[in-house]
Amino acid sequence: MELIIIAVLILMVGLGFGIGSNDETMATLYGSRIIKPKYVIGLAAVLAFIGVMFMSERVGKTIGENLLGQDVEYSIYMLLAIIISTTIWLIVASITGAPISTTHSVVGAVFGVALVWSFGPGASFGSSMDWGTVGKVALGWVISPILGFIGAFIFKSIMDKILSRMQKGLDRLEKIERIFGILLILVISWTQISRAGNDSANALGIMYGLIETGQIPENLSGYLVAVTALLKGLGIIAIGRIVIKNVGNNLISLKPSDAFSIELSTAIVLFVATMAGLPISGSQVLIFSVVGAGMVKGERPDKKTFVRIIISWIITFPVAAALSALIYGVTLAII
Amino acid sequence: MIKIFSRKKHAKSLKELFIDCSELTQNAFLSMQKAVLAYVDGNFTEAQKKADDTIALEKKQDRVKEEIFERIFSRETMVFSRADRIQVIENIDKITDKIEIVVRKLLLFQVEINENLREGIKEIAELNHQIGVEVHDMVLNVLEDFQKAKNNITEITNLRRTVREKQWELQKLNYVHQEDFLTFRYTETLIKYLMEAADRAEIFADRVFILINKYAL
Repeated sequence: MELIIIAVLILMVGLGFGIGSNDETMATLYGSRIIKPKYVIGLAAVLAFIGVMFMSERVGKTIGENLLGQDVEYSIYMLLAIIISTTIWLIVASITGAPISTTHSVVGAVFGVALVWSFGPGASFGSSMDWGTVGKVALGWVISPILGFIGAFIFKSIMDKILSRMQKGLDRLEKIERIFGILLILVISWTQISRAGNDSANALGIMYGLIETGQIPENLSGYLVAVTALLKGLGIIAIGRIVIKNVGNNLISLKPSDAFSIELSTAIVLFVATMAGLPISGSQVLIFSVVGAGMVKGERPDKKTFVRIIISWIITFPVAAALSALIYGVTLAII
Repeated sequence: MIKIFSRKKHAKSLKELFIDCSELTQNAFLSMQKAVLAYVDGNFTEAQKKADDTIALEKKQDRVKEEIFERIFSRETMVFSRADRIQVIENIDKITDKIEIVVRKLLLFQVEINENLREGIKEIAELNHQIGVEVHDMVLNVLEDFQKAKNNITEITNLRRTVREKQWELQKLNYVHQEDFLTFRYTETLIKYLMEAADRAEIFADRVFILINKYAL
């Protein structure tokens, strides 16, 4: 195997670690203090491992095989450009504190290399990407947060109607919330597995691209998926715990029943998208679910923060595309 | 796994401690009322005894409050409700502190209360006792039934309004009938402290109203 391929594979599993480092899925469970924080982190790591092992294939193949046009094949330099640009953008965004989507970064990076490819001899922009798949992915990005919002709004409304009849005093309220705490553990576990499968595909798409072009043997995929799964779990334990703690500590006043309606909506959207092979942003779905549940209580999100988040999501795609195009273009010029 | 879900066994549950705390406040109101009645009737020995009883109840309540604070951050409560529970206990404690100030006032000095003010002061003391009963019921209902707690809030507000009106009547009488400044000043502050105990109870009732609306769906 060529050295450059090995380097790309190392960067790929490294990206898996980075994705795990930024995974805040368990934040609501952490904030609720239903189980001890160390068990939350441990649970997150184990479930993430399971999610990557068993649920990453469809989304991974969408990114690695189905995004580019039929005439385009991933070259190692394309994959290198994709992975480097994604990593740079993730680092920059983490430093500035902007919440971004890894999914948008990777797909944007793929778009960027395809754009550069289209300037090659005999190539055209129209054939550089599988626009049907691109359309589905883009639709998924638009629809998934909306579904998260609507789902959380509906679930919270139904639950409030049921709870308003059951709630009496503080002690009774706590008894009900303890039951929701157990349900929250189940639902958030489901979310973690689906999200790990969906997010890790951003890294594993590289592997599927290499298999598709015959640059690595298919029988290596099992080992690579396992290593990526392990590193995602380690990423959560090593660094993701800080993200989970910071986000979770801001959610302490959230009752388990509130968190349940948010997480149920998120879990359903993530699971359906992952099974359909659609790479979506788990963070987007979660944030819109939080907003949807909050609307039931008459709460509005802080406009300034919300606009900042939306802007960072919108610019991620073009910035990642520009970065990957630049890196790939420069690489082509050198070689 | 067992360690995740196990809880240390205590003689009394947290709920029982909350109820104990509010019962002590109710008893403190009763004891204060008896102290004031005895003082107004000139029975200073009895007044001192009841005042000492009230102070003992206040100290006992402090110990119950400390035990609640030790346990409130355990798994006996859920995170989202802790701040509200702490608010409840803090407010009960502040009411009892005001009651203690009243009885300490009685211990400071012995004066003969003007006969035109005696019945009025006894009435305020009795109203405070009724407030104490409502406060205790309100704490119980905060834990068991928010709807019933709303009734207690209304009662406390009405009783406190009556105390306030009575207070102004008495202050006016105090200005009219007192002949020496020392007795005037003493009576004035005694009435004022009785009023403050009722005021504190109403502040607590307002906090409970906010708490109930926070959880309303």
